[in-house]
Amino acid sequence: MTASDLPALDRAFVDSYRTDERRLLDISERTARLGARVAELARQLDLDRQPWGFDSALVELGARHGRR
Amino acid sequence: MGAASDLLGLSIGAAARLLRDGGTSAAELAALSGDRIRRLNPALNAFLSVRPAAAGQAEEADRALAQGAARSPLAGIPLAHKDMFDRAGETTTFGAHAAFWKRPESTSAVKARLDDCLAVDMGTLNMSEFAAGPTGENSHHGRCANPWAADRLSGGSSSGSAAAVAARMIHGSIGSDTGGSIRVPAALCGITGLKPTYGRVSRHGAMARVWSQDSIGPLARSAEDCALILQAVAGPDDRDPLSALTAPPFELRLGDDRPLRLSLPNALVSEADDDVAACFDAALKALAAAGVGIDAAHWPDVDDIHALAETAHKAESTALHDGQLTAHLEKYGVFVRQRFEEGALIPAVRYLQAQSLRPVMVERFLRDVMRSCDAVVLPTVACVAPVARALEDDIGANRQLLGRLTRYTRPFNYLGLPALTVPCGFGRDGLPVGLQIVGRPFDEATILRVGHLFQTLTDWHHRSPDLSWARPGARTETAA
Repeated sequence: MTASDLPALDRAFVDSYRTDERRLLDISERTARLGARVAELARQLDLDRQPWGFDSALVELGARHGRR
Repeated sequence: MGAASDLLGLSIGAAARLLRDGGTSAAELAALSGDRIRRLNPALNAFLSVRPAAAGQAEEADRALAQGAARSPLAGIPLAHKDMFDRAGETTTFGAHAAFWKRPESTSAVKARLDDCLAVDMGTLNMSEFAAGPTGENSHHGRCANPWAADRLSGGSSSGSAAAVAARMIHGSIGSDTGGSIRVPAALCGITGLKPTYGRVSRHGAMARVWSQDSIGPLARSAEDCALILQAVAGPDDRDPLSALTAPPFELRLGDDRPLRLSLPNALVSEADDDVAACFDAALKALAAAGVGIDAAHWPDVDDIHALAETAHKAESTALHDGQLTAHLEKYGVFVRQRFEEGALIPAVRYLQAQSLRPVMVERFLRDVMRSCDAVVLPTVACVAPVARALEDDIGANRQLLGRLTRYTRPFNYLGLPALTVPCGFGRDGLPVGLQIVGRPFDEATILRVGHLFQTLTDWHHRSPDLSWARPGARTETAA
C-alpha cells in the first residue's frame, strides 16, 4: 500500500490528528488486517443468526449457565 | 513489622473485629494509614492526593461503632480509590493533564455505597492516563513504582491501587478493568484483585474507558477482603442501565464445601515464562491435593477474541476522546494519543460485527472450555513485572509490551466474565506471580470460593514487600 492508495476519508485523519502519512499507512494496514479478521469471523459464525445485544444475552446466559 | 504495619497488615475481617471489640479505632487506623502514606509515597507515587476529610469520616465511623450502629465490616476501614471515580466537590484527575480534570457535583455510585458502609476514603490513587495502559507509567503524574522492586513496573492501569494495597498503606481499593487493569497490577504487585462480571457494579460517576468492556471492582490482600468490598458495591443502580438488569444477586459463599472442578486451557498456558509456569503448576498441585478436580481444555478462539476486543477498544476509545483529542492533542501522552487515534480508521461495520459476536463467543467459551467445570484457571500475566523503561516514543515496543501483559486478561473483558487473580508464588528476581480464576456470568461467588480455598492452603497473600528502599532518606531511582 502506498500513500496514493489512501481514500479521502483517511487523508482527513492526517489533518485531524496532525500525524504523517507514514503513521497513517501503518495504522491503515493494521486496521485493514484486523477488519478482515472480524469480517471473516462474522461470516464463519453466522452472525445474522443472533445479532442481539450483549448485555441482555449475558444476563440470560448467567441465568442459564451461572451455576454448574 | 511495627505496630502501624501490624494493624494495617490485618485482613479487613480481622480489622473489623478489632474495631468492634475496641482494640483499635477508625481514627487510629486512619492516622496510621496517613503516616504510612506520607512516609512511603514520595518513593512509591501511589497516591495523587490525601483527603483531609478522611479524619472526619473516621470519627463518624467511630461514633457508629460505639453505638453498635455500624452494620458493614468496612466501617472504619481505610480504603482509597483509583482517581477516576467522582466525589462531589473534589477534583478527579483521570491520571490525565490538568486540562481534563473536573470537579463533579455528585458522587459516583461506588464511592457513595462505600460511604454508606462508613469506610474511610483516604485519597485518590495514581493510574495510567485515562486508564489506557497496562504498565503503570504516567507522563503527567509520574510512574507508580512496584513495592517489590523500585525499578519494576507496577502494572496498570489501576497502578496506585495495587501498589498502595501491597505496601500496606490501605486495606483495599476500587479500580477498573477494561483489558486487565485490575488483574495485571494486582498480579505484578502480589495482591488479590477481582474483575466482576460486566454489569455487576454500577458505572455511574466513573470514567468510561471502553464502555462495552469496563468493569469496576476491588483490589485487596485476599479473596475474602475482595468479597467484602464487592458485597458493598455490587447491585442494581438505576443510573447505570446495565447494572439495573435482573442479574442474579451476589451471594458470599466462601465456605461452600461442594466438590470443585477446574478447567485448564493447556496450549494458552504454555506461552508463559518458565518461572511463571512453575508457580502456576505448583498452585494447581496445591489445589489438586485439596481434592479439586482439574481437566485439560482446548480454547481455539483466544486469538479471534483478541482481534474482536481490539476492534471494540479502538473504536470506543476514539469515539470517547475524538473531540478532546483533536482539540488538545499535545495534552495527551504520546502512547495514549497513538492508541486513541487508531480507532478513527475502524469501519462502523466491523465495530458492530465485533460487538454482535460477543454472545456467540461467550456461548462457545461456556460450551468448549467450561463444559462441566466451575471455573477456568490460567496465569494472570505471562511474565513477572518487567523493568521500567522509557518506551513512550517506541510504538512497536509499547504495543508488544501491552500485548504481553494483557494476553491472559483481555479476552474476559470481551466475554464479560468475572475473573479473580490471587498471588501464587514468586518468579525470577523474587517478583510476584498471579493465578487467574475465571467464572461463569455473575458467578463471582464460585471464583472467590476457589481463591479463598487457595489462600487457606498457601500463604502467598500474607507476604509483604521489604520497603526499606522507600523509606525517607533511602536512595531511590523511582520517577517523581
